[in-house]
Amino acid sequence: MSAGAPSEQQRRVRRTTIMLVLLALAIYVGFIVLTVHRSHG
Amino acid sequence: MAYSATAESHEHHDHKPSGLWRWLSTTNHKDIGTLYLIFAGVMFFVGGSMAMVIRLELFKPGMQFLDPAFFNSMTTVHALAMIFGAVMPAWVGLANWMIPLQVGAPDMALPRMNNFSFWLLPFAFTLLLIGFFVPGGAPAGGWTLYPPLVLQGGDSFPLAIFAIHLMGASSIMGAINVIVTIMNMRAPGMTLLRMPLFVWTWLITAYLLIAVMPVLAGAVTMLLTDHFFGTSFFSASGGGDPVMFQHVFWFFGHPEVYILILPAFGIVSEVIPTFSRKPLFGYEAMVYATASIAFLSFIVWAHHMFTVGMPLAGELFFMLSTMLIAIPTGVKVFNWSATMWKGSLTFEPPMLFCLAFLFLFSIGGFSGLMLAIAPADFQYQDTYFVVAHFHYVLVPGSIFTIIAAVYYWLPKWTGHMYDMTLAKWHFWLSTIFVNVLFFPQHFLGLAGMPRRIPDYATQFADWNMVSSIGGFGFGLSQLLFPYIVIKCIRGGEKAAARVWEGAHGLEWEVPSPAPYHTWETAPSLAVIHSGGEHWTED
Repeated sequence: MSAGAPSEQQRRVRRTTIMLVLLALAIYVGFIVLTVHRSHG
Repeated sequence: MAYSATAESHEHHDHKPSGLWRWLSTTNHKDIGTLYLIFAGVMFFVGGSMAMVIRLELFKPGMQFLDPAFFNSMTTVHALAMIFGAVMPAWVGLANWMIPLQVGAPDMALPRMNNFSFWLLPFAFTLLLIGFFVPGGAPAGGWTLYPPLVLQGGDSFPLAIFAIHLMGASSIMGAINVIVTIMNMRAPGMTLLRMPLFVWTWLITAYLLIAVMPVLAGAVTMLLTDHFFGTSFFSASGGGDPVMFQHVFWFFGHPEVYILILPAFGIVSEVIPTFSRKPLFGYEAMVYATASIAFLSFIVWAHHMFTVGMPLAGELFFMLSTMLIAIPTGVKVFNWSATMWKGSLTFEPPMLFCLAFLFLFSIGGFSGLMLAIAPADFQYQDTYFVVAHFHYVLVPGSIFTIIAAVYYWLPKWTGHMYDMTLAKWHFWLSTIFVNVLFFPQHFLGLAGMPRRIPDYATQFADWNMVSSIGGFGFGLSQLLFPYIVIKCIRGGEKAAARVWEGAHGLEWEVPSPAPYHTWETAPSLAVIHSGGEHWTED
């Protein structure tokens, strides 16, 4: 991808990537929290 | 002859770096796809040689060659190597090679992350395999890593956990790359419902990966802290719950099965129309069936653990939801059969492997339905019937379709046709021996032979010997595969751009071999429409 102002496609790529990374992290943390609650709750 | 060869030469002005640095630093989707496929091939033979060792020990009753702990390590690492080292990287390799070509994109959306996600894998598997050389030996508690057994492992335990974390990170990055590419990089005019089925199945697979790989990562992180930091997530002595691990593991594990098989459905949906010279029957139904299977995969996990003791309502729910999966799967099998109906069929190696898939995967599906019946499962649980079931699903399911995909696109990658006669030999030997290997395991399981044991009662001797003979035959016949591929890379009859006369799709619009850089200018709508005849019925 070229330097300079990001194109609309670059912006969409970044936005989708960030959302997917956050989703994966949320699932990781969420399942640990859920398991702790179910194990010890 | 169903393929067309050409003497036409294509002038490629591709600039690409050379030597080792090219492969270490490459961000080109074709290079990275090749790396993934080579890695998967190596791990297929590593995992396969472990299977040979297992079948060697089980050839006769009594302990012949191995001590029981090493046998358990073989079954554990065989599974991890095949699932995370062979099948998943092979699918990612095929995705890297083909998705940009099929959607008209110049490369994957995140090429540097693509390089990183591949190069994590050799480190991950080095960590896993050096477990064989540390005190206590390699992991031996099964690929399911159930506590408390897994917590009693030797020094290889943290190595295996770290390896699984790295594999998971690699898979998640690969999945993110696939989704971002498909959602943002498609050529103008390539609407979602114009995409080839392989792209569709991979898109759904990638969402599955993002949804469940973090769950596995969370579970193994908790195992690690239970082992080293005194927590007791899964330790009953500290108030934890070992059965909870099984729930969390299978919440990952069942969708994982579909991660291994959904791209296979995509390959079959590409290959059967090509060699039937007909459009795929029910394209949209195939997309919805794939999505339905993916959704159902999240609500069936406890069918792996009917015997742990759960409320009757739970048993019923998981039994019935599991049986529901047969409906969209049946739609797919019907549609593939309907695609062939009155088609002008020819039987080149990719088609042969896909037809074997159709028959043998269905056998695995039916034994899956038997296992889904909770009261019957109490008899089958932890027997060789289960081993026969999942190997019928994964070997003729995933492995055969990966081979079919390689035979389908190899001329596009190399620019040469491969040795059809040898490839047909590869098919017939594989298909005969895979049945000799796994079909008797149904009988062994129904007779009560438990899985994951190095020795067995003499009543099981005959079918174990037959199964082992099938195993050695299957293993040896796979040596043909790298021979055929390497021979094809080194030379052969020139391949045309559209290698198979019935093939449709954007990948057949570029020359063979595919230039290093493709679709730097997006294909026109006319090209997309002409290449995409397989998605229109008229």
